[in-house]
Amino acid sequence: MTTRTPLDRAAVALGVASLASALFALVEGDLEFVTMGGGGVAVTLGLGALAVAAGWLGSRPLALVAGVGLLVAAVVLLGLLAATGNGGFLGGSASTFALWLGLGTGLVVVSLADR
Amino acid sequence: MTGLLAAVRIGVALLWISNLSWKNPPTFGQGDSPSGLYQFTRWAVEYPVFPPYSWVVEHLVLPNFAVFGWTVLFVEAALGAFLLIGLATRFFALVGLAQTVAITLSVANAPNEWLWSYVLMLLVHVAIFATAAGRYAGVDGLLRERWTASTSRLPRLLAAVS
Repeated sequence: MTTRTPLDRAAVALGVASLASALFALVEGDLEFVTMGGGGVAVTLGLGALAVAAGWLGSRPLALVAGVGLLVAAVVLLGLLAATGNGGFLGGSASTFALWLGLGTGLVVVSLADR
Repeated sequence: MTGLLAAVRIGVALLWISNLSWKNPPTFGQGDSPSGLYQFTRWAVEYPVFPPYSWVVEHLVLPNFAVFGWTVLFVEAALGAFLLIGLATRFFALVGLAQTVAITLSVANAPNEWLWSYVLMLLVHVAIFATAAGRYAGVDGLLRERWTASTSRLPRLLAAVS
């Protein structure tokens, strides 16, 4: 049986936050805190699920992959915004960039921390 | 009680994150019909709050608006990202304070603006700083003991700003 540490539970929480953020794709108006659409939903669901699995299994490498994946997605989104003024295939806006930056950084930090 | 502090921190993070959705690179609203960040920044000149600040905006910021726009985007994205996960929270509370002062000096006298909304923004960042809100359900809380025990520079710095 896997013994989960507080860092593993943090990875689960960050993954759940990523999964939950996909709900913003369904929201419009003042409560749409994060612009989410297109491929961005797939990114946030896929890497969020990976982070949850990483924390559940106590796997630091998996958590690191999820975190780096979110950071790469954030950088690609920013590049698309700079080049075209929109999120392209990822959808989203600078708010999506900030969300992925936070969740990705959190996952990288907890996966690299000494245990 | 600690859950409430985490909720305040995460709520403020969402405030910064959601307000990035209308700061659109690469123009940030600069163009024939000004909008978005460019229009709000111009209000510092059209509706001055503090004349020296208006002078800086008119002569330094607006002529170099792309640089300013990207700087705002990165600062506010970092605010949203790091307050969300509670990493280096006290440092980012101070950054949030500074950014709120800049916003207040830009728009407080513009039509339909409510000064108290900016005072409230200032106060909530003071509260986040005073309570070190990242130590509750945040990365700061998870790692601060390790950072404090470390002799390396970066962990010690993170302990100081958490």
